[in-house]
This record gives sequence, structure tokens and C-alpha cells, in this order.
Amino acid sequence: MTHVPRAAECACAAACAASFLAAAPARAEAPPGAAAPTAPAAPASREIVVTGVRRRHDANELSVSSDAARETPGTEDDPVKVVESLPGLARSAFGSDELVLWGASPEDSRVLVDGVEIPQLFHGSGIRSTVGGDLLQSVTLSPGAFGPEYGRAIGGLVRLETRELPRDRPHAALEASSIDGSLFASAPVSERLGVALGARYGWLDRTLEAADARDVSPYYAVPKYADFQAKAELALRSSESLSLVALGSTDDLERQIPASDPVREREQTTKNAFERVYLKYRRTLEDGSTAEVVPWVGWDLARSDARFGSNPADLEQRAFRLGLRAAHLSPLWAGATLALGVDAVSTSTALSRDGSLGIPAREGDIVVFGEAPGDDTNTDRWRTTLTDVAPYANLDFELGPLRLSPGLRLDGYLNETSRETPRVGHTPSIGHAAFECAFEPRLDARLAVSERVRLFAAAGLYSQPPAAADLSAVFGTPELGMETATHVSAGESADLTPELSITTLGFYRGLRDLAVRDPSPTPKLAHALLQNGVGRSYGAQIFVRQRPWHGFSGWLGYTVSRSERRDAPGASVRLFDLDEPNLLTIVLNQTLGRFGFGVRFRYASGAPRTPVVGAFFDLRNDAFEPLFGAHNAERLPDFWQLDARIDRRFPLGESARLVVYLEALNLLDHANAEEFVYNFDYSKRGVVTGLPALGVAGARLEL
Amino acid sequence: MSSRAFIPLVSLVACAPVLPDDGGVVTAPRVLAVKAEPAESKPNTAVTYTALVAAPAGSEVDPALSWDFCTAPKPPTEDNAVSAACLGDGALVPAGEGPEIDATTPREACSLFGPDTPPGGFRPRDPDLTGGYYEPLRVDLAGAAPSFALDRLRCDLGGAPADVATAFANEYVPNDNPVLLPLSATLGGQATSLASVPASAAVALVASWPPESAETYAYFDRSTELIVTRRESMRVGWYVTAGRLAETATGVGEDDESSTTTNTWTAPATPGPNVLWLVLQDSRGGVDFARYDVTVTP
Repeated sequence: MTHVPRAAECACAAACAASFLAAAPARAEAPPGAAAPTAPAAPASREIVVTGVRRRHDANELSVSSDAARETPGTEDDPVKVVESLPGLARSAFGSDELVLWGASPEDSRVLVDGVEIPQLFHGSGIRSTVGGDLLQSVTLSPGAFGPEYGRAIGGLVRLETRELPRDRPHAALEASSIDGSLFASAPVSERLGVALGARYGWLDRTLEAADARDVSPYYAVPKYADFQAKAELALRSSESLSLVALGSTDDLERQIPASDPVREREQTTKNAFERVYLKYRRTLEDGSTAEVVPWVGWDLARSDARFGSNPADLEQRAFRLGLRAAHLSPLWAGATLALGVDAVSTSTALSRDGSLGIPAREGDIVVFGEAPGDDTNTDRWRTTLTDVAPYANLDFELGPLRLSPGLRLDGYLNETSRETPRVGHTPSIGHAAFECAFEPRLDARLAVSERVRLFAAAGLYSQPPAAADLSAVFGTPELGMETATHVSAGESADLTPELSITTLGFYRGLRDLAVRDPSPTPKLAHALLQNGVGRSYGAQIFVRQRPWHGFSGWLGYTVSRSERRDAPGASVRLFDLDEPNLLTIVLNQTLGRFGFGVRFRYASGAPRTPVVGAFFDLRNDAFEPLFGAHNAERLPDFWQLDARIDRRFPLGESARLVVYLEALNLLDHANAEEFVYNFDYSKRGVVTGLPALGVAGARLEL
Repeated sequence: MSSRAFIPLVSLVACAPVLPDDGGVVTAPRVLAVKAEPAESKPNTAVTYTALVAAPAGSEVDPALSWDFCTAPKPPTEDNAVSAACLGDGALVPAGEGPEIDATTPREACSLFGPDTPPGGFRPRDPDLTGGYYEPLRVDLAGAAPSFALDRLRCDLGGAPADVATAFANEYVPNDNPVLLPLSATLGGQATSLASVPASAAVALVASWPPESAETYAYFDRSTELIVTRRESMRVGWYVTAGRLAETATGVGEDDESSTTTNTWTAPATPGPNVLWLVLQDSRGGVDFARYDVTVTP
């Protein structure tokens, strides 16, 4: 199901408590090929419209129009990358594409396109998004406490909405760079039918080869990637439409570290790909109610073949997915609406894994960057089918200045696994099946204290099924059940001036039943994982927004938080592996005539690491191995980076223009530490540093 | 119509620090290898363990070594070769003292470190890539970091059908230690004697072993559940008291039938006596080692 606007949405807009406007370049005139942005851009402004509460039941979400987002410093013309500048999302390491929302594991958050889940937001190493920006209408970040139409996630959401296709005339956009190239074209086939097609192909690896750049593959994976998007829109009867959308993405990565010592050779080949095809039917009835149905089908492939010396570390997952979203939204009385819907997904996955129990590493594993995994090996082949059917309801109504949105979601999980115990010979496979039900009330409340001050709060229960990769009888536990969470947030939004507003909020996320490794030396058969893990993250967030004022605009987002885990009852509480207690982002923009200037500053605490306090010598492998201190007891050095952008517009007649711009990433060439590395006996330590100063120049011609 | 030209100027530069990686130069007394005879044995078997101890001045004469079997299995949450508990005292069983000891491997080794599990439905240990299981043997030398030898155990085949396990027991031949042949050295393409190496000279070293040292062995492939024949890979660890080694370890993979491996040692600029040690290991844990005295001349 895609976004379901509510009858009272427009009336509520002014009262939306967390309505964020973030400043960045936005243009008075929309690009010829673009549909109207999510929210109108003010003339002569450089404003990104970030609608905080487009849907009232999701008090914490930040929505950015695609056209404006691509012009934010640091996005490199990719609108999806604007999420990296929004509060609530931790900074992921250079070369990583992990989404850490309010202290949740990346595996606990979901990425949705028009309500359809896709497995990855970015191509490998986070270099580009998997969905081309030309098809997108908006990018929405929802770190937690979201409404009942979404589920199967105990973390947060990133939602992408595709745009309506222009019907006036054909449009096209061609982009080429040393990173990749893309083409997007749309055309009205008839008065009722419009089609669009886009594709992108990455060639950064070849660019680096051609430039004879230094090999950074041991530390930074340079992927080969491609993606495509296609959309057809058919207008049916009045207020009735049907869309067909197809999305696809693929990533290939190969890297080798040769050595004259066969034990120290490294090689890795990974492939990640997905395809999605969905229909979106929407109808608005005469009584103002709307109905929307989105059936979809998809295929996912995730394969990693690695060798550490002779030791394999192979994992392949092939998934076939079927889903359906349907919603009916009807007005009940003045200011009140009722949404009824269902969100269903079934995922059949075939998996194979070879290698050590310890790789891939799990959150909470104590490892050293670059350390080879253990040489114990095993193998397994298994299948899973995870089905979730979730009906939900959401009532939205006003009581004077108070608006309440209570909702309820009921997830029914049917988890089936092909083997309950490891395979031995030709003994017949005995599978495992379990049904679980999650009762998930959600509540969103907003209070308009005055015309300039709003209070808001949201809370809910959340759940997600186990990961298919964790249901192995050899490497995991087939009997794993759902993981659950409680989200709570509350805050205040105030307009200090007509252009300046401030929003503060606090959040708490409690996590239960997390799958963690059995810490005992001898786990039970087919129980390598236990659901003993618990966790919590809590913190506060402030967002200050300057709307355009004499050409100046910008925002400041700061999040202070703490995320902790406990891996077993009675065990000590430790920091979450990706905990970043301080996150600061400042974006400033200034328009002077046809020039635009923008800067972005980011600061983030270093991620926790477990200190190495000594070493012992492994005579069999002829290598020192580390002895560790307290779990996650130290941190990488803090990160900071300054990015800048300058652009100039050249009008070319009435309907054409040229935009020339220059972006400088890490303008001050600050050497940010991304990882600790050690010498052979762990007596000396250094750091791997991340992105050096990087210049990006571009020009865009719009006709 | 819109067309775009977008030209990023990529300037990826060095990301990695330069850390000293001179693990082949012996700067403090340390244990370099332990040779078990027999190289593979069943639990509760008498085994002779011999240590190779190096020091900056050459081999240690009668080093003060203490030996302990570790009885703590490694939990799946740990990534090292042995359990962290083996670094404490609570899981150690004294095995002897001195550079060479005779000790009897623990009777319960195959249940602690192998596929034998106690009643109650526990998960068997996973073997290494050669199908082996290992008993940790801690070797302590005063002033040096603890060292662990991993003594290969002869355990029953786990996780296999009964007929396959029986066939495997009949086919499998326990490992023997490999044999290191005399080292050859060349300087400028000409054979040279290690008794006289010019200062700062780059000496090509060739370590070799008899082809039969790289044994073939029966291996249970868990993905196909078939017994296949594999060949040991061979690896040589190189250690010196001074100078610079091009590699600290070299070797050949199991698909490589070569019985030699090469390295380059750049002699120190300072004339004087030096020592070169070689440790040959096969992939099933068999060991041989040798010591060479090298004189660097002006």
C-alpha cells in the first residue's frame, strides 16, 4: 500500500507537530521534466520542503521532495542520499550502506518503495541509491514509532514514493559521470496512458582503473552496479488510476588480496540483486473515501563467496516474494477518518552456507578488522517460507485542539523451515513450522497548544519475523520466533518566527527476543542461536529549521542517544556495535542572484570497538591472535566532515536553463578514522581513514 | 528535454596506515613451533612434543618451558583458535616442563574438541577444512606471549551416515609429520653458502620437502556426503634474527604439486652471526623445523 492521504490531511497540515522544513537548494521553477514537488518551493528560495507529519500517525517522519533533495550538499545529485543529512540516522562508515535508525540494527529497518519492500537502499558501499531519483517524488525517513500500516520491522523505515508521470510532452534526462551514467525518459502515449523508463550503470571501477588509482579494495569495495525503473500509468474512470511499476538493481563485487602464503590469500565475490513488479490501483469514491490495492511480486539474490586462505565463507540466499497491500480510507464525521487495510507478504527462500559458524559476523561479535575467521567449517542447505498477514485499522479524530490516531495491527506469522535438525545421510527431512501472532497497538497524539506551539507523542508495539539466514539447523536455530520492540516518542514543535522553527523530541526503543549466539561452549543441537537478547536505545533530538529569509535557509539537526544490548540473562549490558551518541548535521544555503552556495557539516561520535589488550601465538596458523578487553569499551575517533556546494544558473530562453555546480566532499580533507588495524602481534595500532577530499563538478541542461 | 553532464573528479587516495609487519624477525625469545610425534593420535595416547624456541641471539639452550593441556572448548561467540578460558589458569592441566616432553593426551579430548557429544542432544564441534579436530596445548616461555600448539586428534567421523563413517575409518590414514629438506640459497643466480653472506645482500632461499610429505588423505565432504581424496597444502614459516624477509610465510596450496617454496632474505648491513629458522607445516598440523647459522660478512 502506498501513502493513503486522509480526508483531513490538509486541514491538519498546519497543526502537524513535527513539520520540518529543511533548507537547501530548491528552485522557484520546477525542472521541465519534473512533476510538482511534494510541497511547493517558494520563489527565489533555496528551500527543501521537509514535511514532518505528512501522515498524522507518523509523528517522527521526515519527508523530502526528490527534486530539492538532490541539490543538498553531499548528495552528489542523488536525492535518496539526503537521508544521510537528516537527524535520527547514524552515520554509516565509509564504504558501508548500513541504515542505523535511532540505535536499531540495520537488519531491523526496512526500505519501501510505494509501500513495497526492497532489500537495499544503496548500491554496495553506499555509493548510489538503488532506485533512480528521476522516478522518485519523495524520500521519507521514519526512525521509529510509525503507524499501523507498516510492520515487520522493530527498527525504522525509509520510504520512497514514485512520482506521477508528466502528461504534457515527452521528457528525458541523461546523466553521465565518472561514477556512473543514467538515462530516464517519459512520454504520454495517449491521453490516458503515460510511460517512463530509466536505467543506470556504474563504472567507477573502470574509472579507477583508467586513472591508475591506488588500489583501495582491501578497505573500500568498489562495486559494479546497475539499476532500472519502469512505470506505466493508466487513467481509468474519473478518480481512478492504475499503475504498473518495475524496479531492479544488481551489484557485483570482486576483490582479491593475493599472497605468497596460501593461508593469507583473501578473495571475495558478492552479488546482490533484486527485482520488483507491482500494480497500484487507486480509486477515490464520491463520498470522499479512497481505496488502494498494491499486489506485488519480487525476487532477491544475495550471494557472498569468500575465501580466507583455504577456508570458505559462502552464503547464498535466493528469495521469491509475493505481497499485497490494500487499504480503504473513509471519512466518518467531520475531522475523523477510519483506515482499514491489510499488509501481507510471503517470502520463500532457498539458502546455502559453507564455512565457519563465526562468519558472517553478527552484531555483538568481538572481532578485529581484517582478522580471518576460525577454520572450523560446516555446511547446510535449507529452505524457509515466512508468511505474514497483517490486517490493521487506524482511527483518526479531533477533540478540540487534540488530535488522536489510535491504531491496531495484528501480525500473523507462519514460519516454516525445511529442516529441524542437521542433515545426516538420507534421513528424511523433518521440517519445522510455527505460527505466531503479534498484537500491536499504535497511538499517535498531537496537541495544538497555540498557533505556534504543538506537542506530539507516539508509541506502539512492533515485531518482525526471524531472518531466513538464522533458521539453519547447523548455523542457527530453526525454532526462532519473532523479535519484538516497543517504541515511544514525544516532543514539541514551535515556530519562533515565521521562518524559524524548532522541534525537539525524545525517544525510547526497547528490544526483546533478539536472536544472539549461544555463549555456552557446547550449544544444543540446532540451537546455535538463542532468543535471549534484549536491548534499548533512547535519546533526544533537536531540529532547528530556517526557512528562506533573504535568500538564506538551512537546518541543524542534533541527536544525542545511547543504544545498548544484553546478550543473555544475567550478562552485563554493553554498547550496541553501531552506537553513536552524538550526531550533528548543519546544512546552510545562501542564494545570491543566480548563484547558490551551500555547506554541510557533519559530526558523529566514533563507533564502539573492543580494545585489544594482548595477544597469544597460534602455532598452527603461525599467527598472533588478539586478547580482548571489555566488550565495546572504547571508541573510534570522532568523525567530522565539511562539504560544500556552489552552483550557477544560466537561463536559456523561456523554457531552458543550464545549471553548473561544484561539490566538494570533505573539503578540509580531514582524515576520519573508520577502523582500527593492528600489526602482526597486536602491539601497534593504526587507523584506516575514510573519504579524502573529493571534488564533484557537474552541469545540467534542462530543455 | 533535459540532458545532463555530471563529472565527478574522483581522487581516492591511500586509506590504509603503514604498520610494521616484521613478524619474521625474532626480537625477543619466543616459541616458533611444536612438533608432535605422532602427528595425529587418538585421545589418551602418549605423545612426544618438541618445541622450537628462538631468541635474538639464536636458539635458546634448554629453555624454561611449561606445558599445559587446555580443557576449555571454544564457544561459538569466540573467533580465535582457542577459548579465552585457555588464557587463564582454570582450564589448564599440566603436561610437563622443558623443551621436550612426553605427555598423554586427555582421554575426553574428542568430546571436548571433537565430534563426540555427551548425551542430551548437543551440537558436535565443527572440523577444520581438512576434517580435523585439535587439542589445545599451551606452551609458556618466560617473557614471551603464551603460545598454543594444536595437536591433531584422531576422532570418529561425526555427522555422517554409519556406512560412510565405517568406510572413512578404513580409508583414513593418520597424518605424519612432513620432512624439511636442506635449504638452498642463491645470490645473483649462483648457489651460495649461508656461512658467508655479504652484508645487505638479497639471498634467494628455497625450502623444499619430499613430494610424499604432502600426503593425500580421505576427507568427508559434508555438502555431498561423499568421501573424497585431498592433498595437503604445505606452508613454511621463515624467521631470522636480523635482516629483512620478503615474506614471513610462503607455501603451496593443495592443488599445487610443487614441493618447493621460495623467499628472499636481505641480509643486515651489520656483519656478524645470524640465525635463520624454517618451520614447515602441512595443512593437517604436521610439523618439521630446521635451524641455519648464517654469517654476514663485510
